[in-house]
Amino acid sequence: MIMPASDKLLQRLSLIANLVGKAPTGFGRTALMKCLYFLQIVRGVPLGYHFGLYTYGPFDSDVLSDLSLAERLGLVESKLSQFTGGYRYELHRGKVPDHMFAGAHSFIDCYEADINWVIHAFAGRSARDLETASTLISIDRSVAERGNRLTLGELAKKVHEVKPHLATPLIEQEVRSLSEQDLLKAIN
Amino acid sequence: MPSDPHRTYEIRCPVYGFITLSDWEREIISQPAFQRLRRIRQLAWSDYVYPGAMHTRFEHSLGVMHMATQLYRSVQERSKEILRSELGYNNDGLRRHEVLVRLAALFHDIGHGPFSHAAEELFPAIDDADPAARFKHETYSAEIVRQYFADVIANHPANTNCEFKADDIANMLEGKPEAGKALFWRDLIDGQMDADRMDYLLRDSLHAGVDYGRYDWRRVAQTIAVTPPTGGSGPRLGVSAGGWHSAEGLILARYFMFTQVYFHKTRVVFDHHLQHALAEMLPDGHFPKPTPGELNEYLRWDDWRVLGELSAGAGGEHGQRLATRNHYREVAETPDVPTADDLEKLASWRTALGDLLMAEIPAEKSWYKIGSADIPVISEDDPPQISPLSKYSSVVRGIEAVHQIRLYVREEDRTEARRRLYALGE
Repeated sequence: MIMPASDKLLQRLSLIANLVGKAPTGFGRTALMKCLYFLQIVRGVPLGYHFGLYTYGPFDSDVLSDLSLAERLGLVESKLSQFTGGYRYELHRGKVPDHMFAGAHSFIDCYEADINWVIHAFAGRSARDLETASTLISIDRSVAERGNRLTLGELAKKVHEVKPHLATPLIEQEVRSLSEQDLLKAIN
Repeated sequence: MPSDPHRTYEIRCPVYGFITLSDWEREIISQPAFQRLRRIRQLAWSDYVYPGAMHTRFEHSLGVMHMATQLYRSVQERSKEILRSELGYNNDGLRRHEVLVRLAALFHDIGHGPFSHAAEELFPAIDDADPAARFKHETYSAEIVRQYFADVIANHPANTNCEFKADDIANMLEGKPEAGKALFWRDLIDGQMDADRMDYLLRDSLHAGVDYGRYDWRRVAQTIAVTPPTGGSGPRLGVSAGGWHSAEGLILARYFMFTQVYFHKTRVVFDHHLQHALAEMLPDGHFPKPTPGELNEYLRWDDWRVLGELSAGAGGEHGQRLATRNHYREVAETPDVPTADDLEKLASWRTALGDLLMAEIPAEKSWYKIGSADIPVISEDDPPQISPLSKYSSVVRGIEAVHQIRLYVREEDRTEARRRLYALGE
C-alpha cells in the first residue's frame, strides 16, 4: 500500500484508524470530529484541519472527507444506527492494519500519549457533552488569544450564547470539569 | 442630496432574474475592495475548456446573498416555533439576523485571491512550524471586512436599528465564538446545504454551458427547516421529508459538476500552471498575509494584474504555458474512488514515468471536493424522526468521496509516457 497524496493525509488517516481502534463501543462521527479538535487545539498535534465554530461545536468538513477515504481503504467501517427521534453513525476498525503507511508510523508513535489522553478523557462521552466541551474550549481559546480573562460563570454564559438550547447548569458542570482537568487557559 | 437609506435597488442576474439590494448593500458593493471581485473570475482558467465560464466572484457574491435570503426566510417561516423555543428568537431578532445573514453572504468571498481557489495554494503558512497549515480565503475575507468595511457597515443610517459592526460579520464568516447565537445561521453560508454551493452550482453550470449543476433549488429552499434537538444534539438545518428528492438533486448536481467541470482533467492542470506562474511573480513565492500591514498589498493582486504580468512575459515556463495554452497532458488516472490495488498501480505508473512525470493532481486537494453528504431529513411524523438523506436515497448512499489522482507529462513526452505505461500492461 502506498500513500494517496500527501504525508499529512496519510497521518490523518492513520490517526483516524488508530482513534477508532482504541475508542469504546459507540464512538461516532461527532466523537471523532471533537477528538481530532481536542488533539489539534489542546495538545497541539499538527493535523492541519481548519475548525470553524458552529452551534454544534467546532467542525471541519475535511474530517468527514478523510473519514470517507478511511472507510474506502478499509481502515474504518461505519454503521448507521437509528434511535427514537434521530440517528448516529457508529465507527469500527476495518480489517486493514492502521500502520499501513510507512510515513505515518512514526507520527502515530510520536503522539501516542496524546491519542491515549483524548481516548481516555473524551472518546466515551455523549455527543451532547462533546459538543459542549469543544465549544467551551473554542471560546476559552478565543478569549485567551486576545489576552482576556474570564470567570467560570462568564465562560458558561458565553457558551450559552452560542448554544442557547442547552441548560445553564449543564454548561456550568462542563466548565468545572474542564477547569479541574486544567484544560482552560482564559480562566481567572 | 443624500440617497434614501431605505430605498432598494435591483440588479439583473442571469440565474435569478433580479436581485434586490438595499441602499446599504449598494454602498458596500461600491467600495473598491468589493469592486475588486469584478476582476476575479469564479472558475479561474476554466474558459480554456468551457469558453463561457468567464463569470466573476462579484456576480456570485450577489447570488449567494439572494439565495441565503430565500433559505433564511423559508427556515424562519417553517420553523418559527423551534427558533423561538430552542434558540430564543423573537421577531426582532429574526429580522436583525436576516440582515446579518445577507451581509455575511455578500462578503463571504471578499478575500479571494486572483483566479479564486487556484491561488490558495500560495497563501502563506499560519505558523512557520507547520508549513502545511496555510491561511484560507475565509481569514482574508474576515480581515478585509474588519479593515476596509468598518465605516460603511457601522455608520450607514440603515444600521441604526441593527447596530452591527464589521466584527459581527467577520466573526460569523470565520466561525468565531463572538458571533454567539448567529452561528446557527453559519450553515447557510458554509454547510452541506449552504447558499454558496447552491448558487455556484447553478451559476457555474449556466456559464459553462452544461446542465450538470441544475437542480430544483426552489424546492430545496421551500423545504429547508430546523431539525428538533435529538439525542442531546441541538437544532440544525435539514430538509423536510417532502423535499428529500430536491436535496438528492443538489447532491447529484455537486457530483456531476465535480467530475465534469471542477475536476476536469484539462481545467485542473491550468490551476497547476497558474500556481507555478504565480509563485514566480510573488515576492518569496507566496501572497502577503491577512494582517493590517500586508492586506493592502494583497488586495492589489487580482486577475488583471496577473494577466498583465503574464502578458509582459512574467511567470516563467508556466506563465508561457498559460499564455499559449500549452498545458501538460494527462496520461493516466485512477478511478474516481481508487481501491488499494489502484493505488499500488499508481505507484508503478509513477516509477515508470520517472522524470517524465510533471504533475500529479489529486481530487482531494480540490476546493470543490465531494465529501460525505449527510443532510438530515425531517419526517412528517409526530414527533418527527430525523434520518440522514442517505437513508432515503440509494443514489446518495452510493456516492462516495472522489479521490481520483491524475498524472501529467509534457505534450512532447506524451508518446514516450504512453509507451512506458503500455509496457506495464496499462
